[in-house]
Amino acid sequence: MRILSAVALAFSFMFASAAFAQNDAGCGLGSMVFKDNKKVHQVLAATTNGIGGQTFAISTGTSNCSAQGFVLNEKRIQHFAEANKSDLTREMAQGQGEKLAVLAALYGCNNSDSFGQMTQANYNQIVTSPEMNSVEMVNNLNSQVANNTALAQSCSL
Amino acid sequence: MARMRRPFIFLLGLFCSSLCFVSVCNAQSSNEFLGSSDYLKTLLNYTDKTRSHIEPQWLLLGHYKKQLWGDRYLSEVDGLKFFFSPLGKTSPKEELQATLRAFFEPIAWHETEDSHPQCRFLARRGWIVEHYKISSDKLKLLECKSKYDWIKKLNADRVSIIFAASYMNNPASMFGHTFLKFHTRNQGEDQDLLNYGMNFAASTGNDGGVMFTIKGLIGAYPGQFSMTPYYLKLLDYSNLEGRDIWDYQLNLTEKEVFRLITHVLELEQTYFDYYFFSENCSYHLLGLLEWARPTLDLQDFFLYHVIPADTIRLIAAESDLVSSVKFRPALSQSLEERLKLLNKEEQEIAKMFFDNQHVESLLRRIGERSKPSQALILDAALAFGAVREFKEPKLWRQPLFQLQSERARLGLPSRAIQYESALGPPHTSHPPARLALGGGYQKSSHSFLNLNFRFAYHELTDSDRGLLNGSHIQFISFQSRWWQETSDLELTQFRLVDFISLSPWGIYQKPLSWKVSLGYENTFSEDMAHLSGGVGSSIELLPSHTLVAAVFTEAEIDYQRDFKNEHFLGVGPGALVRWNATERFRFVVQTRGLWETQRARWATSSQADISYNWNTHNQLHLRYKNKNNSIVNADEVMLVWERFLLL
Repeated sequence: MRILSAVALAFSFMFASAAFAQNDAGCGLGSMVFKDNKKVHQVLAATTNGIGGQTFAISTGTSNCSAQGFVLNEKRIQHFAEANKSDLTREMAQGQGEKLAVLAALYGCNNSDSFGQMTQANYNQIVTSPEMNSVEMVNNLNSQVANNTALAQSCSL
Repeated sequence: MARMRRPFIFLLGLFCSSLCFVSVCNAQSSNEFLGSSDYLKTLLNYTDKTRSHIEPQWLLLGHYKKQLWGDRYLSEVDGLKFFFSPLGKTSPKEELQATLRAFFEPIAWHETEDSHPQCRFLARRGWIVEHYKISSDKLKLLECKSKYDWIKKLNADRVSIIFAASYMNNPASMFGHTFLKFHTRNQGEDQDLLNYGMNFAASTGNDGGVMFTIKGLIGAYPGQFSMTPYYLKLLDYSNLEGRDIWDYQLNLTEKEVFRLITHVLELEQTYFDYYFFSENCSYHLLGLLEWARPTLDLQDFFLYHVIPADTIRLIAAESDLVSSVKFRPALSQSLEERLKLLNKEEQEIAKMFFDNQHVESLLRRIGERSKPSQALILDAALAFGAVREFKEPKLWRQPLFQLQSERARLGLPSRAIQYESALGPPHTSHPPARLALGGGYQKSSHSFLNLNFRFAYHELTDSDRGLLNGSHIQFISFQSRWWQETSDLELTQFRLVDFISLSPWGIYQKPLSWKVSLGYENTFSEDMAHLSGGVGSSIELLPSHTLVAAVFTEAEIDYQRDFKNEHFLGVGPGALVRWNATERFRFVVQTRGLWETQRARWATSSQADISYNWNTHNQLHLRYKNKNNSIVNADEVMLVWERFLLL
């Protein structure tokens, strides 16, 4: 998995400075989550008791971030960051949290505490504006992880 | 449909094979049957002789249910591609024979090797090979590479049933929801979020409202299995809806997990008609478990309706099926816990922010304080914003950014929040149906024997253990009485629905409390149908829902048979107090006064309840009730023994 994370990281770096190709603009799931959101807030919404507007087949569904029901390995960080962006930004500011620890693990860091400290110390380099999207966030995170000497050791980069 | 043409395909296949050398057939071997026709005949004869088609495991694989009379079966699967035989839905025998034939078909008859029947139905193949003791030299067993690759990629060694508990103010959620979680092998507990969730759900398209309900009741939506990362599932349940999550990890062996997965892959290609109350999300998960471990008998327990919480109860009651139960609090709950870390003064500052939501003044106010104190207050503010953000994402983006930047500047990692469920896991709750026996006494010496039956689910006088605080959700309840004086047996009450939702005002939000009731009332010989409702607010006088008081504005429409063409409308105030005195004792007092517009007078009624449950299934319940209006002026006292039942 560490190798995969490294690959993911290298992959992200390749695009970090350049403008993003269209097919790389996130995983398009933020919109999906909030579409459901509206439904859920109707008082009698039963959407989530096994009734959903959309179902995806298990092993056949394919999007730009997933194939055959799985999140593509090279998109794991992006997909996770996009889905959990608001929890992640909060946890980064707080320097700890369950989702932040998972993100650290996706980066191959076995010490999530120092990962958390890094995100807290560099919060405004990672989250640069309220409107920032998750692709930018991941890019900024990538460069922060790479620039951090302590993490460079503890995260198998 | 394609299966009906099978004999023709067979002939066509023979015809094609002779043309093979000049056509697109690339390898001769792909055009050969995978076993000899003699061997196939042997298997078919063996099926006849031993009645293999009524083997329990074959019936499980086909989701066949024995019909009430005769030797007849019907499969619950509604997608016809699931069957090789055109008679497959009703005949397990035809289907088994057709499956055997299909497994012998040449690969060339199918698009790819992986679309060959053997690969499309790995679980069937597994059972057939075992049952008929088939060796690979008699029937060539295909590699089914892409299917096996998929299973390898899923890499699951354990399975959990996830229960999303009901949540406040939403009656549709009250029965809970269940789905499966596949644990990735060697993945630490701290990376639980990266596991995969598998759901059985109906595809409803964009239907809503009445159409949605009707179609859901009559099974007009196809239900299918689907898979998503667990963290996405949790976003819906835990973050958006604020539902607590219970993780029942199952004690399945790797072989059983494998059986389950291969069968899910068979079902993926098809669908079941989705019925809200019976063939729903939970029901088909039970079917999967039965196949995974054939000694389990779960589905047959449910005749007409399946409440997800009851399936959890059933699973937990099986010996050696659940290995651990874990709790994951809803986002809003764990954030609420953050507030408990604050002292009085800090709480005051946090509360002021919750009221005015003004970031600048919050930052001004905390400026003087010590760093740790600032961090605590900011964490509480962030928690508040996080809960709100899911409802109003645009509004909160800027303030949250500002708060988070400020929080990050402070440094100091936040303390992790540990949170336990106060009410316990759902399988420890009382069963939903309730039978009550007892007697009572009405003014002017009318004593009576009383019999109540409630179909589902929970009354304010019932113990909240394993459920949700402050919810009162009753569906279909009857009360009948035998009056001693007249020896009459009477239906004295019928309620179709009876809801009360008490959501006390908290530090974060000021939710609405409400109630609705629809039914027939004859307790004091009123003989009337009624529809009533109310909205109001409730507050917690003692924490953790121990003592809750609520006030409502209420309205009621009555229709009385005795008075021709009379519909009465009443409007007025109501109040309710509920005291969870101990785990076993509860007191509830309700009162209201309605101004009856036509009769121009007040109608008042009140009720006081004491209940004591000595275990999950039994309870004593004492009720005093009075009613005073233009027709009735009476009161009564009644004592019943209530027995909770799982239907």
